[in-house]
Amino acid sequence: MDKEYFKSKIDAANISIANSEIESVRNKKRERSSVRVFDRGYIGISASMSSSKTEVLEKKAVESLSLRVPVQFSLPAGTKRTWDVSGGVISEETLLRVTDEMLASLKKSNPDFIFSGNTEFSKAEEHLENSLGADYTVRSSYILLQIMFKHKNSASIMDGGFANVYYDYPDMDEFISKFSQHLDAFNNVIPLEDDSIPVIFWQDPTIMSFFARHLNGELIELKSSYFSSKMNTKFFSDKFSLYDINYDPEHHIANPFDGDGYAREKHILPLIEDGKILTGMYDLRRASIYKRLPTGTSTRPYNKSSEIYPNYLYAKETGVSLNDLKRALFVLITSGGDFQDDGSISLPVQLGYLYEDGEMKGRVQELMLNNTIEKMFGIDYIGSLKETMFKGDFEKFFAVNMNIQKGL
Amino acid sequence: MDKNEIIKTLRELDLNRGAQYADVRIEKTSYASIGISNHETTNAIEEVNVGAFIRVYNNGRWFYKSVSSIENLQRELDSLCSISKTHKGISLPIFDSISPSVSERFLYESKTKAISMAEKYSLLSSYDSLTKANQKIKVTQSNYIEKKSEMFFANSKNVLTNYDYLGYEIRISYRFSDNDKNFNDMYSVYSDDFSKLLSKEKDISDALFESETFLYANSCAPGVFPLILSPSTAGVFAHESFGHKSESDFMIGDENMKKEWALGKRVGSEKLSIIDYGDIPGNSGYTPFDDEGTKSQKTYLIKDGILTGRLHSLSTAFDLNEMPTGNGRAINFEFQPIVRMTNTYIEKGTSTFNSLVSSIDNGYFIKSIKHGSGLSTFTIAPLKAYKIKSGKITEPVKINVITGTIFETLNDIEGLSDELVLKSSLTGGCGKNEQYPLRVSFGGPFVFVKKMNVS
Repeated sequence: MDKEYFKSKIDAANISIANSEIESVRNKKRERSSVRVFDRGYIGISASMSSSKTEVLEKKAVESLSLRVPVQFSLPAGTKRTWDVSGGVISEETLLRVTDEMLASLKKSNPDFIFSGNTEFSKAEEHLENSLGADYTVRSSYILLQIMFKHKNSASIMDGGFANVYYDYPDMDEFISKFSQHLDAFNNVIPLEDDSIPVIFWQDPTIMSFFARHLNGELIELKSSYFSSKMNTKFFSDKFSLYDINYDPEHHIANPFDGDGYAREKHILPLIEDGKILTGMYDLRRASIYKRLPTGTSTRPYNKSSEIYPNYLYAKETGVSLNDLKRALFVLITSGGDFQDDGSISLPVQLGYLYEDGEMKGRVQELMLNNTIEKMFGIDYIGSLKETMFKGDFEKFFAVNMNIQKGL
Repeated sequence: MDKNEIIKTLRELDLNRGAQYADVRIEKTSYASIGISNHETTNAIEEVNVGAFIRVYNNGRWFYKSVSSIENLQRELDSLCSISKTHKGISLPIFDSISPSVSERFLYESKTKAISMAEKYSLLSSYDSLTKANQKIKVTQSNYIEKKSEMFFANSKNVLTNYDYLGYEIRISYRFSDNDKNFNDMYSVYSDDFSKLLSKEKDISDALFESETFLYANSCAPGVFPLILSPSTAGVFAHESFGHKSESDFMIGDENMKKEWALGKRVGSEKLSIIDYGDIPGNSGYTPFDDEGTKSQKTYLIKDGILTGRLHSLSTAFDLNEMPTGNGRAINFEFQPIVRMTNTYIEKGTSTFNSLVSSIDNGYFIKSIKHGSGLSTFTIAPLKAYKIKSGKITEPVKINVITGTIFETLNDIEGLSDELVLKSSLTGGCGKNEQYPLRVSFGGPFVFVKKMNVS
């Protein structure tokens, strides 16, 4: 019988902000444990989100073998390894002081706005060990600044937000300066006269989720992905390459093993290269079923089976700079839109700015962006830009031509 | 640790150790899930968790701690009290109105014991196998989920409230594919009674038949159209477009919002009433007492088009000089209660569904949705929608998104059908700030809206 033991621990201090003041301080010690046993083609699982002894969980996992859940793969072998991408540690007192100072500064320079949200310092450790020698530990930490804003005259519950994750002491001057630039632009509502300008996206979850969903290897194998008939063909622009990255200590990305404990050799997995779709993503189960190589792209909640999911999707930088775009629509928040399975998309812009000659000129309202995934990363793809929102960020802006429709 | 031992633990805590206010919430949750992916069982697990959340209030600031063991609660409470005392802020008489009380509501004590995992698996497996008959179904995911929670709460004002919650859900998700055409859909059934999950074969077959027709649906013509929203779509609209704005924590210290959302103001059509009420057993938003020990109130957010009430925790009720409504909720013992909805719905009207449809010459019926969201503009991404032509539902259509300005749409509600359906679920739920998913339910009747943007 093979066995796997998994434990994740989080120790976090969280400061909640309401009405531009600190409202609460929370300490959280979170623990998740699971044990999986593999015996004669069946798997037994037990899990807990409260304190539990390993022996108790192991006994329950063995007992659950009686449910006769089949398993199509074997646990991966491995060695003892530790990855530590932790940054600086800041105490709760320091986090309180940083939050206080940030609020004081934001309020002083932006008196028309009310701020809410939270700041957090979180330290995490994951440990996975199996009876085939894998003994992995990953340590990480981050400091989160996540601030929502609303104009004092606004009837909305919030008008937008601004957030960044830091791994060492936050550069507060940069954060406040960038945030204030956006708030200045927010106050200046302007019409969008030219609807043929490029669109700049930053961290838009809807767009990347299409790739996450349709590069699922199982969907591709079952001829049910948008990309099923397009594998190994040049479908997108030469400029578009998309990678899955599971470990990058410089940018504190640390998912070196997947949900089943499989640690792939190379940390960069090309999914789309120069517009050609190369491979889908496979976890151990699907790799075994469809006779493919596992790609180390699965996640497993502590009490479930693994699901295919990318680690970090990264569009290769294309050398285009913000300076090359004299004028563009800078989209900070879209919400409510979605892709259809035929690849068409409508994205209502909730917060967008007109960007011109290096600065945010003002806020533009009530716009809908339409296009298809094929064109967005094909003939309409301008590129992944050199610039990032904050210095040192991994997440790049990317620019695309979209059909900009005025009015929602 | 059983129910009586947990209550004894709570009763023995000394909650008056120097803080102006303290409370402790203990949650014991039993969870069972079974997953079948493409007709292969992938997961079957039973899990029991116990944890606690401690709150201390001193001089105008809250201090919280979550713990995954309840063995040393007094020590954890004392430690938090000691930290809170270092804060020098302003004290508010926020808790003066709380009176001692003991309340208990255990509805489900004996209901989960008799059903074995084998029986649950057998039911799920039989439903899953119904998807095998259709060759165009390429991907399936079937899940059984069961959650039983026992909630225990005590505070330094001698309030003790305990209750339990039970929900079962079966969800069959499937993806039709035919060459480059694909369509994802699902069937789900939820109840607090396992027997209500049985004999659903015909419902599932009907759902599969309907879903297949959407594989070949044409895209809609964009524009402004009259719509009929199904009860679940209307519920999401009520929840996203209006319910969140009724959560009064957004109003604290915001004079403009207080003016904008003054009670007594007309905000919608006189046909429209929206209610939030936690004490409706059998729904996933069932919360007879909130996580601050307050009994749930039936709150009319809108009554006959007039803004009538809003949702409160203890703090927000004090700040706005209103009564708590039993809406201070947390997703689990790891988080603090914040103002949240429970079961939120549009009150039913008097028309029939057919009469609503027959009044539309050229429009759409939104039967189900993928998701919705709402700031000043709300957006809903439909999943299944039909064209309405000359007063009749005709062919299925693909709609990317419907949008509208909230107040305009609330005023454009022209008709409500005479049935009320609440949609409950154990998968997904409501998200606010960092807390997702919170179990809620939402619904209403069929709702006729005069105009909305369709694209």
